Amino acid sequence: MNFRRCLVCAAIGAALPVCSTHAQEAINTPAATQPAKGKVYLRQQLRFVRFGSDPSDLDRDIDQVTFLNRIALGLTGSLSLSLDVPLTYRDTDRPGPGNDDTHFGVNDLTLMAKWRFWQEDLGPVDTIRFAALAGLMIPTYDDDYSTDGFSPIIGGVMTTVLGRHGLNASARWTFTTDSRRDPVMPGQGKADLLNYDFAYLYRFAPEAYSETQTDAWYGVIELNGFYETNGDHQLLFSPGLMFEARTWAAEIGVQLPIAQDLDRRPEMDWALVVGLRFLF
Amino acid sequence: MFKLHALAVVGVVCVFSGCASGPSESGSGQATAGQDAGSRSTVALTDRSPLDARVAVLTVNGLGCPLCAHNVDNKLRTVAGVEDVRVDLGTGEVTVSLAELIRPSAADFHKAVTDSGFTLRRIELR
Repeated sequence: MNFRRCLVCAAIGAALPVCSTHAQEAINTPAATQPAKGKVYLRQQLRFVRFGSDPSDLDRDIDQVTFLNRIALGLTGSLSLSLDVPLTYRDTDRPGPGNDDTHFGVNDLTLMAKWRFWQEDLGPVDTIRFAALAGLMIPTYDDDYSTDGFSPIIGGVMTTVLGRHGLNASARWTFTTDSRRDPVMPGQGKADLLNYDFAYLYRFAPEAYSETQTDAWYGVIELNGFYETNGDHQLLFSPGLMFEARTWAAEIGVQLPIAQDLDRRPEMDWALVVGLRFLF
Repeated sequence: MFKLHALAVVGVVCVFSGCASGPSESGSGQATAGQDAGSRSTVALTDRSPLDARVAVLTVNGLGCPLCAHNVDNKLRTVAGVEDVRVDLGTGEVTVSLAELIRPSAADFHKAVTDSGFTLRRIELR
């Protein structure tokens, strides 16, 4: 893998402004929370994926780095709009001399509306919330990453915080309208995609909040699943750690496959995810 | 042995009852004002008249986490007449210092908290 290109990617990613108030949003699982009305927030996440065996005829050995930049705008107190812009660098080794290549480009964008339609705030921090999701994958027509198709997305997400415990659950269905000949990621093939996610967050510290206590540590355990209607299925176990202050948060986690049944795209060996969220 | 089991069941019920508060009033306003003991008074959340105090204490529910608290902090600071905001996540109390000449109304605070995505339960003036 070209280490210099990775450093360039990291520098570009670090230079982008970041802020977010998607509190209680786990590392890989959405939450039924959103920015306040009129506020714009950004979240940035760096994901390194080491792919394993490739069941397709291409027999590829792939490493991939993605910088995900999410911009969200609060339209009302319960409705927001977000845009995901993923910058991707991929290093692909193929059998035979001269067949290795690297590509840097922009993966398809995701425009998503989130409407919190139900909310019960039980105490100072305790809350239960449900939100509906409706969105669209927008092609970038990148030669190496785009599917070249507009694909609608619908879904729902639940978030609950009870004391030191937090739970998020989400399901999203993508109606894929186009595909790549050489899919690598879920949703790039000729099949609709179901994303299903569960996250449990536990606040290690503090035991109790106070006026002077302005930060918190969380342990996170997630299950992130991908089911495609062509039969490909993947379930990832994703433990992680989050630190949250009043104006910023940091996260780090790994993703390990616990079940993979893939015939059309490479399996994942492991992934490392780090991210920062800032609130201005 | 039976009494022990019954006691355990009652204990568990009490614990889970304590985990949840009363019926949800998400987004709704408290219709009545009142007088607490001492020098505090509560204000109806729909009241549009300027608050007659230099300090207002808002009880907000659903804050969730430190970043959430800063969300409501940010929103309240955009209300005309607000000089300072301090959030206590432990109690849900948001202490707001008000300017001398420009005073927001309870309805202004209710709207700001609602626009932040949380529930305003009560406003006390000090």
